[in-house]
Amino acid sequence: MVVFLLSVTGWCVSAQSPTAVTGTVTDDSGEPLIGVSVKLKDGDAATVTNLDGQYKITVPSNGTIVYSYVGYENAEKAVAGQTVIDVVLHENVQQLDQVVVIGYGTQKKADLTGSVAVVDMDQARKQPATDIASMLQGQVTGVSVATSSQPGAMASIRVRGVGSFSSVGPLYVLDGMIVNDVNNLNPNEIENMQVLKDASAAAIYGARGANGVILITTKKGKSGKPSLDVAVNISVAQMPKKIKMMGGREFMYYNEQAYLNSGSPWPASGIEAGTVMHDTDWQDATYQNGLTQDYNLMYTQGSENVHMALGVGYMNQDGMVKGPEYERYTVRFNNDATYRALTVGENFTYQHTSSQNYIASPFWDALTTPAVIPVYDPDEPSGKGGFGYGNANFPTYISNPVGLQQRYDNRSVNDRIIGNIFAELNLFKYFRYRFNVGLDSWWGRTKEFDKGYTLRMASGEQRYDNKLVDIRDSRSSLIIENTLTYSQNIGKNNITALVGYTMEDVNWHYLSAEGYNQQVDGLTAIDLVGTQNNMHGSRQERRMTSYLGRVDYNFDSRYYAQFNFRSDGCSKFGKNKRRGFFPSMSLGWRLSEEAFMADTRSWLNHLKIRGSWGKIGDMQALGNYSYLSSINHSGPYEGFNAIFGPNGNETLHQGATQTTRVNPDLGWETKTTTNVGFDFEMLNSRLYGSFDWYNAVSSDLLYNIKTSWATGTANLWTNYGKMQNRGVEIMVGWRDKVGEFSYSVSANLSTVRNKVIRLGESFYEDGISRTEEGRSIADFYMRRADGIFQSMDEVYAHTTTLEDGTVKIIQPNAEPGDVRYVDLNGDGTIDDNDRDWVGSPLPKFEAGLNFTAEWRGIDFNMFWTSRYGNKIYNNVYKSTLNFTVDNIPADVHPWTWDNPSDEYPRMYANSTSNNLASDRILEDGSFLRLKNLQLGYSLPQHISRKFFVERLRVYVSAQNLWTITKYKGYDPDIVGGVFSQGIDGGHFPNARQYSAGLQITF
Amino acid sequence: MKKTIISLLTGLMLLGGSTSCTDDWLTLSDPNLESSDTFWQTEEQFQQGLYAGYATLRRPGVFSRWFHILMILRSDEGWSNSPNAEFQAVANFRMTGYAYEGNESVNLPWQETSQMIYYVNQVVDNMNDHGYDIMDKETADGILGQAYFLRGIAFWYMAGTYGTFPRQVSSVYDGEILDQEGLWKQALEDFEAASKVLPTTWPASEAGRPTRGGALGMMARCNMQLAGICKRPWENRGGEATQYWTAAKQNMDEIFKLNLYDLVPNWLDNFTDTNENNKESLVEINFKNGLVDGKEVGMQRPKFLGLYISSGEGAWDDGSARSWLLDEFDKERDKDGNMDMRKRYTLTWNDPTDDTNYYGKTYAEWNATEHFLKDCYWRKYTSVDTDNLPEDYSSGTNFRLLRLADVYLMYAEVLNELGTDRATAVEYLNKVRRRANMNELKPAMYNDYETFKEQLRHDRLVELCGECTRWNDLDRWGDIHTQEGVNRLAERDPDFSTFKVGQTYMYIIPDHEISLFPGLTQHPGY
Repeated sequence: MVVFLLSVTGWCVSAQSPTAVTGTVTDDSGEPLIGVSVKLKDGDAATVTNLDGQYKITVPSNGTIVYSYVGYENAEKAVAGQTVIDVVLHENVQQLDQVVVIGYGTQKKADLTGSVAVVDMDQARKQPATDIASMLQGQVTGVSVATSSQPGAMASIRVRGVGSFSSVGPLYVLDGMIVNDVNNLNPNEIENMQVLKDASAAAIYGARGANGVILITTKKGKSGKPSLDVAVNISVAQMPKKIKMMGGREFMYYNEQAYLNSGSPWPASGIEAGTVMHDTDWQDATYQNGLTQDYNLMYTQGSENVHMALGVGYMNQDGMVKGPEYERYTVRFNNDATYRALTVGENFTYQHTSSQNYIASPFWDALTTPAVIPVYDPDEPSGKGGFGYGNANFPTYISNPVGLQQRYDNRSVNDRIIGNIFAELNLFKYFRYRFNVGLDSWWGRTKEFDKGYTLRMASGEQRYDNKLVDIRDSRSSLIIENTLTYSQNIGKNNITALVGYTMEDVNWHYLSAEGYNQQVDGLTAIDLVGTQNNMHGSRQERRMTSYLGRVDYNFDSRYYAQFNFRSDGCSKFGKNKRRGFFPSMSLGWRLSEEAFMADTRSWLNHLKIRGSWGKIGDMQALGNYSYLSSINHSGPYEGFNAIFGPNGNETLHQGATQTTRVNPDLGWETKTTTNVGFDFEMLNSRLYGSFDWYNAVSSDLLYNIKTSWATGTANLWTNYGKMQNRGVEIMVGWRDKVGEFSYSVSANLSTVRNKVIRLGESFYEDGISRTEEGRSIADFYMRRADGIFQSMDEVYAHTTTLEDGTVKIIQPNAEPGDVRYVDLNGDGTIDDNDRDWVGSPLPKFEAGLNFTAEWRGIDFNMFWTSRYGNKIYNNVYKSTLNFTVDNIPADVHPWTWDNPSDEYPRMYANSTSNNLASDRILEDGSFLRLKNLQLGYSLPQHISRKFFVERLRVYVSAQNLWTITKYKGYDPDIVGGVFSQGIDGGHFPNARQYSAGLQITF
Repeated sequence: MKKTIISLLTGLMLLGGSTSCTDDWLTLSDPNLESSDTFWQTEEQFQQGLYAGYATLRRPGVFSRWFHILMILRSDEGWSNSPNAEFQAVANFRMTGYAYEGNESVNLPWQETSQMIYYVNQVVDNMNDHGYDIMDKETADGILGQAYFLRGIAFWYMAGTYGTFPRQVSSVYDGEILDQEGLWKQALEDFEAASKVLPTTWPASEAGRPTRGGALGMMARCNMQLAGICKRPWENRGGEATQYWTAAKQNMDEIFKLNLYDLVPNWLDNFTDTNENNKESLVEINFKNGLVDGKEVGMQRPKFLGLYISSGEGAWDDGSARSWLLDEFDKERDKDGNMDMRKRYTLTWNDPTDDTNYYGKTYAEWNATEHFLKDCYWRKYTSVDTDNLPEDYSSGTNFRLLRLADVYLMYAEVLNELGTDRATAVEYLNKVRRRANMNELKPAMYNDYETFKEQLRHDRLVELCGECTRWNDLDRWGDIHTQEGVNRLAERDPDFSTFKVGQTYMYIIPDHEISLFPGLTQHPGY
C-alpha cells in the first residue's frame, strides 16, 4: 500500500508544465565533462552531456535534475523555473558510494558487511603486470601472491592462508561467470577486481568458495563520446642478482682437496700440466636480458541504452633464461543493450597463446656446474649435442643448463574462448530476472620434442635418438544460471533478495602420442616417428547443480543484515553425500549514521562495525571419479603384462585388477569462518581504513591419506583433515590534495596463523618439511648443526652419556672440518631421530605500502611489498655447499687446516654426512621489496586536445629495483605447495625489470 | 510478507525442478575405467586378474632388481661401495637411516609384494565366491592354483627378508601379523594348495606359468627353512627339524617321480636367454627385452650387478662380488686339471687368459683406461653371455628362481640331515658336479655329517653363486645365528662385523608400515 501511494505521489509531481533546460557540466578545473548522465529525479527524462559538456533536457519546471558521472560526486539541482543550469561536479574522494560487485549482484561499498577486498585498480594498473594475479600482489589485505618472471606463468594466489590439503587456489568469477582459471587473461581488459574473503561474502559461491573468490569485471562501454585507449609497454627484464661463484682455478684447488680428504685419487690429476682449463661463467652463459612488449587497444562507445567495448591486445615476452618465450593475442568484445525492461548483452574474450616452455631447472645447474666445464665440448663422447658436462676428470652429475633449453623444444599453443550471453528483465518494478549462459572453452596443443642431447654424465642408455610427444588437451565448461532479484525500499527499510538456480557441466579431453626417432631431420611429425611408443587419452566430466539465495536488509543505512545460502550438488560424490548446504550471515552497524554521532560527523565521516559467520565448501582436491571403484588396465610403469612362452616368441597378456580401495562416503569439505571488523573514514575522508579479525576452521578436508602398503594399496581418499587459519588484516590510508599537489599513502598488513588440527595420519614428511597435528603446516624438521669440528679433541669431546653410564662419542668417524650435529635424543648417534623443529616457511605477516603523488600532470608511484618471519630452505645453495664435486660460491671458504672455518665444513668427495638436511641450509626468508617505482607525465588536456587526444600519459617504471633481505638465493618470493613450502629448488625468480609505457586516449 | 516468502519459495522450487531429478543428472560413471562392479564375470577377467599378479614379479622391488640386491648383498657373496649409500647399508646391515619413505631398497620389496598379494587375493576371493559357477572346474582349479602359487612366492619372499608380515589372505580384511616361521608356513600352505591343483606342464606358449613340480620344489624349500628355524640356537627344538626334512624329502621325491626334469647339458643355459624354460627349470620368472607398449618388461639386475664402465656400457656395479669367491672356485680343479668352468661365467676378474668380449673390449683393454679397483665383478646373468650389448634396465633373460641342480643339492642336504642314506646324497652331488666336468666324489669319503656338509657347502656355492640362494642357506645352516659363525663370515665379508646376532637376520621394516599397520613393530637392532 505504501508503495502504491508513493508512486501515485510521484506521478502527480511530474504532471507540472515542462521546461527545456540547458547547461554545461564541468569539473573543478573548468574542463567540460563529456558523457555525464543528466536525469530528472523520479522521472523518465534523461540525457548525457556532449563533447563540450553541454546538455539539453526537458523537465517539469519544479523538478530536480540529478547529474552523475563515474568518479565524481552526484549533484542535484532544483529547476525552479531556470532554463540554464551550469554545474560543477566535484571529484569523488570518498569511496563509500563506489559500487562493488558481489556475487550475483552489486552493493555500495558503504553497505558491505562481509569481508570484501576491493582492489584499487588505479594502483594495481601501475604495475606493468602481464597476468591478473600479479596485479594483486600487496594491493589488498589477506591475499598472498607469489610472483615469478617465468614467461607466461601465472602468479600463485592464496586468500587467507592454506585452507586445504591440496593446492587449491581461489575461485575466479569473470563478469559473473565462474571460470576454471584466469591464466592468459589480458590485465588491460580489467575494469575492477574484488576479493571475497570471508564466508558471508563467498558463501553465495558455496562450493569452491572456501579458498576465497576473486571477482573480475572487464571494461564496458560508457555512455557518451566514443573513446579509444592505446596502451604500450616495453620492459627489459634481467636477473635480480648474480651469485658470484668460484672460477676454474679456485675450483680446481678445492676439488683436489675434496679427493685428498676422502682418500681417493684426484681424477683431475691426469690433466697434463700446461693444459688450458675452461673458465666458464655459467650464469652469463645461461641468462640473458629478457624483453617484454605489450600493446593494447580498447575502443568503447555507448549511448544511453547501448554500450560496447572492443579490445585487442598483443604481448610478447622473452624471459631471462635463453630459450623460453611467450606470446599472447587477445580480443575482448563486451556489449549490452537495453530496451524498456529488457537488457541483453554478452561478454566475450578470445585468447591465443604460443609459448616455448621453460625446462627446469637452469637456476640450479647454472650455479652448481663447475667453471672448468665448457658450455660446448667438442670431445663430448656421445656425439649428441656437443654440450659439456661432468667427465672423468671432473665427475659431477650436473645437467648442462644451456643444453637443457636446447635439448627440448617444447611448444604449447593454446586457444581459449570465454563468453557469456545474458538477458535481464525488470518485472513488476521490484523484480529483476537474469538468465545467463556462459562458456569457457580451452584447447591446448603441445609438442614436446626431445632432441636426445647428452647433458649429464652417465645419463645411462637412451632408447632413442630423439623423442616426440604430441598432446591435445581441451576443457569446456558450460554454465546456465537463473537468478531472480527483488529489491525494494519501504520507508527506511531497504531490502534486496535473490534466489537462483545454476547448472554447470565441465568436460575434459586429453590425448597424447609419443614416438621415437624422426625419420626426416628437421621435422617433428608424429607420422614420421620411426617407432611409435606410447599413447594416452582420457575423458572426464564433472557436473554441478546449485540453488542459491540471499537476503540483504538494511534499516536506514544504519543496521545491516545479510543472509546467504547455497546448496551445491556435485557429481564427484556418491549419491548420499552429493549435496552440501552452505549458509552464512553477516551483520553490520553503521555507527556514524546514528543521531547520537551527529556531533562527530564533522571529523568522522564513516564508521561501520560488522561481523559474519558462515560455512563454505570445497571439493576441488578430489578427482572426478574418486568415489567409484574401478579396474586398472594400465598398471604401474612396468605395466600389467604377464609374459609367457618361449624366448623370442613370448606372448604378452594384458592384465587388469583393482589397485585402490575407495571410500564411497566421501563428502564435501567445509570451511567455517567467523569474521569481525570495522571500516572508517575520517577527516573529510582523507584518513580511511579497515580492520578484520577472522578465524577459519576447515574441516572434513579431503585428503588422500596414506594406507599401509601391506594392504596392497597406497592411499585412500578420506574426509579426515581439519585445519585452522586465523589472523588479522589492517589497512590504513591517507589521501589529500594541497593546491595542485595530491598524494596518497596506503598500507596494509595481514597475518595468518595456521594450525593443523587433524591430518588423518600421524605426520607427513618429505625429508625437509614435516606436517604434524597441532603444528602449522609444513614446518621444517631436520637435524641441527652445531658448527664445525676444529680438531680431533673436539670430535672426542662431542659425547653423550647413555643411561647405563657409558660415554659415547657421537660422531666417531668425524674428522676436523666436519659438521658437528646435535644428538637431540641423546642416544649417542646421529640419525633421523635427531631431527628437530627448526622453523616455519609461513610468514608472520605480509605487508604492502603504496605511495602516489601527482602534481601538474606528473605522477609518481612507489609500491613496496614485504614478507616477514618465514624461513626458506635454500636447496640450491645447499647443492653449492655440498663441498664435494660441484661449484662453490666465491665468498665461501671450505674448512682447511690453514684456513679453518666455523661455518663451512671441509671438502670431501662424495661425502654424505656434511651435507645432510640441517638447519645450516635454512635461511631467513624475510624481505622488503621495492616492487614498483613509477614516474609518469600526462600532457595537459588543453594541449592534447589540439591533437584530438583526450589523454596522453608517458611513464617509466622499475620493478623489483631493490630488495632488502638476508636471503642468499636469487629471490625470496617463494611459496610452493601445501606440505612442502618455502623450499628453493631453483624457482624462476622475479626479474629486475625496467619499463617504459605510453597511454593514449582518443 | 509471509505471502511473499511463500511465493518466493514456490518460485524457487519451480525454478529448480525437483531435487531428486536434477541429482540423477549428477550421477556419472568413469568413461576411462572399467567398473569393479562388472568385473570378475568371465574366465578372461579372472585371467586378467592373474596377469596383474604375474606382472608384479617383474617389478623392481621383486625379481627385477631388489630381490637380487637383498639376497646377494646381505649374504657373504656380495658387498657394495656404491655412491648410493643405500646399497652399502643393505650389505652391512646398517639400514636404520633408510627406512623412511621414498627409500627403494626398504620400501619397494614390501610394497610391490603386498600389491601382488592384493591382486591375487582378488582372484582367490572372487573365485571362491562365484568363479566355479561361471567356468569349468579344471579351468577354475588352474586359475586358483596359479593364484595360490603367486601368493606363496610373496610370503616366501617376505619370510626370507623382513621375516614379519601380516597374513594377507583376503582382499578386504587385514590378517594377523605373522613372524618368520608363520610366514614360511603360510608360504608352504599356499604352495601345497597350488601343488594339488596345478598342472604338471603347460603348452610351450604358456611357458612361465607355475607347475606342480615348481610348487613342490618351493614346498621343499619352505620345509627346509622351517627345519633350519627349529635348529636355531635359541629355539631349543632341534628335534622338530626331522619332520620338516622328511617332508622336504617327500616333496622332492614327488618331483623326481614326475619324471619331467633333467639338467641341461650346457650349464650356461641357466642364465641366458637362449634356452629358457628348459627341462632344468622348475620355477622361472619370464622377462622380455626392452619396452612393449611403452612398458618395461625386462630385468634390471644386470645393470646393477656387473662390470662398471665409466662411459656407461657396463653395469653400475652397485653390488659387487666378494673376492673370497675367487678362491672358493679355485679349491677344486676339474677332471682335466682346468679351472672350474663355472668360475668363468659367474665372475669377472683380472685374468690374463680371459679373452671374453665385455661390451666391445676385453677386460685388459678396458682396464687400461678404467683401472678396475676391485678383485672381481659379477658376470652371471649379464649381457656379456647373451647379446653383449650395453647393459640396460631391461634384460630379456629369464630369472631361474628354482632349477633342478638346486633341487639335487637340496635333496643331498636333506639326506645328509636325515643321515639315512649318505651314499645317495653323494650321488646327488655328483649329478651336479658331472655336468661341470668335476671329479666324482666317492661315497666312502663322505660318511659323516660334517665332512659331507662341508663338501655340500662348496658345491652349492660354486653351482649357485649369485643365484640368490646363499642368504637362506646361511640362515638354514645357522652360520648367521651364532657369534662364532658370524665372525667366520666377517673374515671373508667384513660387512658381517656390523651384523647383530639374533637381530639383523631379519631385514628392516619400512617406517611407513610401522606407523600405518596397527601392531607392527620394528625388529630389534634397527
